[in-house]
Amino acid sequence: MGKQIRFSFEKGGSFVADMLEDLAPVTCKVIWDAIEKPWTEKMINTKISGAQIETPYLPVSDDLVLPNENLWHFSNCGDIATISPFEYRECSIKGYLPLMVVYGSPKLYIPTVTHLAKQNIKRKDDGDTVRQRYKKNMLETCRANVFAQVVEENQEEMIKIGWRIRFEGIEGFTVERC
Amino acid sequence: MAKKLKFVFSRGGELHADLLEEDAPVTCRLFLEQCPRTMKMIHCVSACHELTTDDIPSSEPIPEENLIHFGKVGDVATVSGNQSSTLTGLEEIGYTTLCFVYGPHQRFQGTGMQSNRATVFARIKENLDLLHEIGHRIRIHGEEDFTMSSYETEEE
Repeated sequence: MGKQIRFSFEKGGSFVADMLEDLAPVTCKVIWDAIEKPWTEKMINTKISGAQIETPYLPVSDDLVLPNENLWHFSNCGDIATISPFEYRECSIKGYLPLMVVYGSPKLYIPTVTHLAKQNIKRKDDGDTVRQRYKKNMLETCRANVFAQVVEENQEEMIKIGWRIRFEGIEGFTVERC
Repeated sequence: MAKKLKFVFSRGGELHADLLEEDAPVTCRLFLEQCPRTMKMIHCVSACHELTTDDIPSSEPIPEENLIHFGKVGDVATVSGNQSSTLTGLEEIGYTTLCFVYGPHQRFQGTGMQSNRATVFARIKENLDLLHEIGHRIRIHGEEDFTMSSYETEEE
């Protein structure tokens, strides 16, 4: 069995992700080393990349050169990713890596009118459910190093946590080795 | 006499917007019909510095008036059902959307992938720092109740 990591959230709920060591070996090692002890921070809803929660401050060594590995432009539900300075450029923070979790999925989609006004709307299969993109700012897209994937049986829980952070705001979490 | 909208937020602060009745007359009328109304505002996920609610009825479909692609700080907008399938769905149940642009580098988006054009029908010109603070506050602390009402002033 390969390595796994677990995300646990302060308002409840957790999910496990498989590390993709074959596809992103250096990134997996960097992340694995960074969480030798459980690491606690806060996740916030993205404002540009669709159904995604993120934290910008995973501490790594100042001299880390993270390569581009398993690069994805379009994100998939359950992706756990970071972005190397080669892609993130001026958005990069020396000594830190961003960490993002993609929760967008047609399996569980909550239109804002359903959440806010308890009204349901019909969705059409016209491409609006197309996967979202990783972005570095409002206008520029980028590619992310996808280094882990939330296990299938935990995806529904992960999606609910993602929507909760969008609607209820920033939330503390801990990521640790399983 | 000029018509204005007032937005009062439950965590504190109120904002006033000038209605753009010459540029978007039908849309202004449709929003005036809904005043006063208390709703919840949430943060968008794709359009960057934007607050949004879909919790607002409309007695008619929103027309494509004063269409804007790049939003500016202070723009108060809604979007026609022609602009994405989510908005078409809202229109079919008699609802529409309401958006505030609170920061720079903003492009209206129908989905994470599709940019679109919004009907800008009002503009907040004062207290933009407060608008910015409310935008960040809702992103960080989550949804917030607000009440929209209308009034007239002798200002031109």
